[in-house]
Amino acid sequence: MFIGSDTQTTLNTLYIIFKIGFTILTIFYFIFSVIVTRQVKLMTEVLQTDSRYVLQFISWLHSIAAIGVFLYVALFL
Amino acid sequence: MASLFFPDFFDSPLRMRFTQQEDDEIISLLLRQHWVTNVFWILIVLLSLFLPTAVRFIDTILDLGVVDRFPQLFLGLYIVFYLVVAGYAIESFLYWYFNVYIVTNKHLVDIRFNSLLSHDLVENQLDDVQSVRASVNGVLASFFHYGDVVIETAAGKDEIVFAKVSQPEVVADRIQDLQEAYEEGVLKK
Repeated sequence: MFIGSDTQTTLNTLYIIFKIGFTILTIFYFIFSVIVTRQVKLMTEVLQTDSRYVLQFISWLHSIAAIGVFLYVALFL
Repeated sequence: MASLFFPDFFDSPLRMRFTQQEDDEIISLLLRQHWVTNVFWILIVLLSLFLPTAVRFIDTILDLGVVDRFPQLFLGLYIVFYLVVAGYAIESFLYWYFNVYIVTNKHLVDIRFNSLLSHDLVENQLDDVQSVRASVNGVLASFFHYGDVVIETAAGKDEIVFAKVSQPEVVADRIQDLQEAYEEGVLKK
């Protein structure tokens, strides 16, 4: 389907706006993941169980994954 | 099987401690809300996982072709959507995992994880306990055998409620036994 140059420009502008929006949302998610990591560390000190290190490790992995998603959206989307 | 992934009842756990635990204090029960209370959010998360597939399916059935025309846009939307779902699942799990009731030979402890930004720990002496009762309400609670343990304390203090815990009668009995033992111990001194 042929798309006129004006329509193409509008679509490109919309795409950039959406990409900025997605990037900002992934930044928020990364901040959320850091809060989760911090809170898991605090709570596993309040309640010390065998699974404390597993939980802390998973929360760190989650933060790393959040950085990965942010980089993917910012660089490749 | 469910209690393997969502353990909610620990009888005399040995390798668990909480911050304000005294040296001679022994944990008799450590409780979380019954695992079945997690089913609601797990179902929401599982259903949400299929939403992008449903969008694709509807797009194909109605022959709209929107998803194929804007693949990057939909990829971005899916990523953000899955992040929201992941955030909801994590918050729900942590809320359940860190909301803990502890019965020791000296205290009743309620560790509350209110949100990601706030938590508190409430500790009550066993000799403040006036009465303990267990109540099981509802079909689901009767079927899975969980309920509330309501502990009335000395005048001027609020009721303590261990909400939706497994085997509420066992918990109520244990608190009464420990309280009697505690009072006997205090009287002997």
